Amino acid sequence: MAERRRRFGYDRAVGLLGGAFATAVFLFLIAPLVVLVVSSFNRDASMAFPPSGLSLRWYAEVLGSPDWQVSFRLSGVLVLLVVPTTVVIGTLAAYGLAQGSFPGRRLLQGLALSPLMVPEIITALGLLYYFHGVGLINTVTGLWLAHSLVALPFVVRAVMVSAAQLDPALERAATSLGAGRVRVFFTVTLPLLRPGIIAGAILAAVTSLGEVAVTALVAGANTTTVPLRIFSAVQYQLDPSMAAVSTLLMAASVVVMVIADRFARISEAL
Amino acid sequence: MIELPEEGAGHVEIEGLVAGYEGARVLDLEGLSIRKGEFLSILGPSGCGKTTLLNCVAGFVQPTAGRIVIDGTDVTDRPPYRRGLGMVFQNYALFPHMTVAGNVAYGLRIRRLGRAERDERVREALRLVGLEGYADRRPRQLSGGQQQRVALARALAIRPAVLLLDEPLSNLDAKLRGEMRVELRAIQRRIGTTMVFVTHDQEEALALSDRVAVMNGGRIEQLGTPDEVYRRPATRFVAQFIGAANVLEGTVADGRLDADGILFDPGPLPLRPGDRAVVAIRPERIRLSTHDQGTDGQGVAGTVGYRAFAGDAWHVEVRLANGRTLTVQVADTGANSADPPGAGSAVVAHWDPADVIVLDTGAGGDTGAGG
Repeated sequence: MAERRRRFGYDRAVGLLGGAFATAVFLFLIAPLVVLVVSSFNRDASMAFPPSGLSLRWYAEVLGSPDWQVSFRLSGVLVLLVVPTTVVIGTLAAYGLAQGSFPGRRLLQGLALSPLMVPEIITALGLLYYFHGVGLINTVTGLWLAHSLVALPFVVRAVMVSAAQLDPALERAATSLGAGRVRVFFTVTLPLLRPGIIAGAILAAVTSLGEVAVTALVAGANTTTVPLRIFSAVQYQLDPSMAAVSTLLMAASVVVMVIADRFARISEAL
Repeated sequence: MIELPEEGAGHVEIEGLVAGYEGARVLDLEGLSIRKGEFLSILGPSGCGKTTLLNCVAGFVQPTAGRIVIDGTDVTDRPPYRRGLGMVFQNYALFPHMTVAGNVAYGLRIRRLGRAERDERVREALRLVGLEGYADRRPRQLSGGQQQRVALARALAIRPAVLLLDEPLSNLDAKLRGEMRVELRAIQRRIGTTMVFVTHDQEEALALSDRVAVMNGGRIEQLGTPDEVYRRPATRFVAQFIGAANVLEGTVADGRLDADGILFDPGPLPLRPGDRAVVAIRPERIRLSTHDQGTDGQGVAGTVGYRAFAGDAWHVEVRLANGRTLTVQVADTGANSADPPGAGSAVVAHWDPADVIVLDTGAGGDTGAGG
């Protein structure tokens, strides 16, 4: 009896310790974001934490600035271009890689995921040389291609998880009921891949919104994305307007995720 | 060209079908003729080619040689979606993103049926399998048995020429399997659709079918009614696979069969002394008695190796003097009956000579596929 109670107390202690540790790690992860958001409402032009008072002046300043407006618009356009591009290519690639059987499948699989394993700066350098040659530096097209390249492996990865779980019997069942290949793909395969596609789309959007390394090398004066403008701005002036921009960017990411999640859940429950 | 079919024959004609993967010949079928409206089981152990045969008929496996003719039309080179066959899978294969009604309507949508007729056919199909109230459920909200019924309704809604069933009951528990078996047969009787049912479960095949095709090693060993394949197995494999018969091989001497020193009456065999014969005896046809009960000199002596109670019967293994074993099934006749002799007891096994099944005779030739 006493043995059992001691055992129970020990388990409890371990459980509490584990909980405390997990909380500490979580706080450490969330702290920079909290500091950023709180600072963005600072009344003074200092990054002092905690702020001396609350105001929305930095938001007004950022949203009123033509430079920032251009950047926000550019980042938005890029997300709208990059997400459909990578989702279409990534879904087809992932489906083929997961379900197909052809020579060189494993090699292609490695190739499709390779940008994840190469340091980003290497990819950026390669693109810099290449884009110089074809005249895509400082263009929206160049950024579109560059962001798609960086985001594509995330989409492939995410859709492959769904594609690997695909039961081939389902496609056979649809075929036996009279559906041709294209019809099977659109009415059975694609709906079953949806969780992976949505996850991939979110990853692609967030990647494009936050991309700095590759963007820095292929962008120019006319094509400064939001994260790039933040990056260059903090080198000259460190005021709460940066925090305001970052908070807006973060809010955009969160909104994308919440909408996507809600959309996926609702259609799943129907 | 095929000849004019006989009465009720030639609905599905399979001729010289060969199929294989990477050089290995999985299927090598001389011919199989499936009659309209019959329930045909294809029975065999795993790897015997039965699923490959089904997939060839469905069109998922392209045979390397041979023809498949359905209702007079050669469909060998047709893609599966243009064969008009229904298929039911072992794991149900219901579309998880559609409702029950959506699943059943899938094939009807492809056939561009009008909404009213489609709804009517869906209702009719669901009524047939007893799931009228489940139209708006999702597959994962249903039990395994219900899911398999939906799969059946989905395949039948398109009114297929032939319904192919790939071990559809294997994923269900024993009780449900028994119920679904009865129901499947009742549905087949009611609508008269030709059904080809692949299974490895001999009991299922015997209980359901009009005819059973027993397959082994890519070939059909025997095709016949359940009664025929059980009572008169054509080969040693069939005898052992269905009903797990005891197979004995021996030479005829003095009107008796001498199987490695065991002498017994082989029944009214048309045999001359010196002929070799392979015979089978069903476990449930063998009776056991102990020496003190008196055995009138007939039967084969042995020792009980083990016995196991299986509910409705006892399974007893008897070791014979020559080292072979006989499997004996002793029906449990009630609470007052004595248990069969326990392990180690000396017993005499005997049987009615009429129950001896002759599988092969001759001068020691091929005795069929081993089991």
